[in-house]
Amino acid sequence: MFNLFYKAVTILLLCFVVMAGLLYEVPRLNILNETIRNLHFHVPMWFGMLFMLLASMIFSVRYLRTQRVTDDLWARELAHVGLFFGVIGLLTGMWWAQFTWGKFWSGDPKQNASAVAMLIYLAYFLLRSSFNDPQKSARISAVFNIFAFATYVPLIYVLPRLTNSLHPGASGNPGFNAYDLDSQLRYVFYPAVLGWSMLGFWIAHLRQRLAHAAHRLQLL
Amino acid sequence: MIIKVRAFLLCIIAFMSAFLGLGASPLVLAQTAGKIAITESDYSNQSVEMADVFRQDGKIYVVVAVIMTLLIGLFIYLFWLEKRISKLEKEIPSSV
Repeated sequence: MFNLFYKAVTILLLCFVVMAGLLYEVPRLNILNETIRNLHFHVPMWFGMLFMLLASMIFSVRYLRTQRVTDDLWARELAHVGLFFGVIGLLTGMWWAQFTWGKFWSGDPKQNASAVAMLIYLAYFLLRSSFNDPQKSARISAVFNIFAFATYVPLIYVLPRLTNSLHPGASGNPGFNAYDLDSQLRYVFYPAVLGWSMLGFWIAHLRQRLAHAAHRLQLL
Repeated sequence: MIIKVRAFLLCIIAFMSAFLGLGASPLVLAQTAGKIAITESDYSNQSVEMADVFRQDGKIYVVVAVIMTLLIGLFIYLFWLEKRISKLEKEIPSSV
């Protein structure tokens, strides 16, 4: 019942986000023009990634306490989908950057930091696959995952804001909340964050079930 | 399996040939004697209002339709994947 409910909510939210995100009136701003609509598609990728990596970290902590295989599989699959969202976020951001900042990659602190963060999570998967003993692999990578998340948050959400960055929210560069308070952007942006994140959890759920089935088959 | 694929291909060919027939029909109409000819101006005039929503506002509705199709296709794909995973889960004995 809950399963069907959250999928129905995801579908409704994302259909609304696509239609409203493309058709609703948006503020007419210089340079940004219609690309301001990317707010509903590019930015939610990073929020989705954050939520999924946070959940992955929580499952890693839980695995260290319970030693349950399903917790480890949840941590792995959530990190996997989170990383995928990061790749999509980076690519969509590069398109946006090309037409507003002039370059696909301008070495912006946030661009660099997100690339580094992704390397850290790639290392997580490399670490996972480098042990023959599945229990040892699960335990050590769970510890790594906790540290990876502790590095990820300041790397993407704190450090770029302390230096000069082209991204909104950095010094001399207001975040979107500086001018969207009285506009309709929020009515689409919040459902977008929720909808895209829930789509990520949906995919991670499917991957977890598949991985769990594979694990049970190995026990036979 | 092969029969299924063949039937599927036949359906596609039938579907496409139906479209070819529709595309050619205005020409056939114009050549028939004693009937009202359909000319080029019947296609290019702006005086007759037609259902042109998809051509308005910089054709943004076309983009909406494309992305909605993509999204709904993705949802259907996920449900289909889930069905297969459920089937697999049922095949494994519940003792493990």
